[in-house]
Amino acid sequence: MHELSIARSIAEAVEQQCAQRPGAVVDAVRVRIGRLSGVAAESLQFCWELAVQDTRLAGARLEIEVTEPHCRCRRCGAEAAFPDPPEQCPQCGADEWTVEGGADLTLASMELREEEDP
Amino acid sequence: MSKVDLGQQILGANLRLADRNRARLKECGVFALNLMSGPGAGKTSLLERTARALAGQARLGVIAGDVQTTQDADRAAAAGLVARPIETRGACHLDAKMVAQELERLPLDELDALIIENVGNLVCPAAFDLGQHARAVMVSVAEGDDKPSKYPAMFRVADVVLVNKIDLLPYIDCSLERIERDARRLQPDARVLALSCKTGEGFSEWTQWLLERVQQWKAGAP
Repeated sequence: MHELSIARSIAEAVEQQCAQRPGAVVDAVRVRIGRLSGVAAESLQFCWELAVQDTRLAGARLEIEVTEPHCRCRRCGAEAAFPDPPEQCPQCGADEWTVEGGADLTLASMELREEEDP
Repeated sequence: MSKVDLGQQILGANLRLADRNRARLKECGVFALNLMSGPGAGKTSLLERTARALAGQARLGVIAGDVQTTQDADRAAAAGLVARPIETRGACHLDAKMVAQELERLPLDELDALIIENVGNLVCPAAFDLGQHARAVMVSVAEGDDKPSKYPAMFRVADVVLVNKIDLLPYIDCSLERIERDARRLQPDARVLALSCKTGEGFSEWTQWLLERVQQWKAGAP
């Protein structure tokens, strides 16, 4: 629901990184967004265009890697699919699962080129 | 063309402000709880009954967030709590900057604990650290027992899950066991407490949890 403010936060962070590189053009920005982060990738992609229009980042691609959570057996550590693990752990028979991962909201990297580059 | 690795939190600016809030609260000896739920689960009723239950035992303050109106802060103040409203005017969650402004307006030196009532929303508030020391997630049985599985991001950050309105259980199909099982799967360390802010059933477990957390924190626990 707050994807526009997330998109603006990404743009601000990238602009700060570029402040010392006046001649650089940002071609792409890569982020990792967890399935459980509360941020929808499609909506973020849409909001990115709005957030960067009329800024030096206009035209920069936003590349989103969605990271998935998984379930883990509390007794033996076996992994199972999120959100519906088997009733009992296929390895040890326990029935207590926890959910791990999928919470990322990370600005991973960016692709830069100098303005005169082709 | 060159690749620049960044590896930073997208909400880093909010996290830094949240850490500043935490430090400010620590300085004043105030334990802060971020109280989150969907609209109408009973957050403000919890504040009102908690005010009555803990009168004379702990000095409580409230920051009450609402999209529109200051009604929740008004209700908390009427219940005898020191309360400040945050009207977000459309924003779907509180952030650390909004809370920082209100911390300056609260008499922190006169408080033991601060409950920050977030905007009613089971999605967005989960992502925003406010500088709290613990998070409470509330769900009412009237909303159905599927809420933890449908809103995993929220329940996985909970230190305590409050299941409210259990006085309605005879009239609806809602399994407390399912709520507890699904909530524990997302956050095994969370306490799950069933209560009714209306009748007071189960309420003393909640106030005891809160008092213990405040005391542990004041004694130096994280």
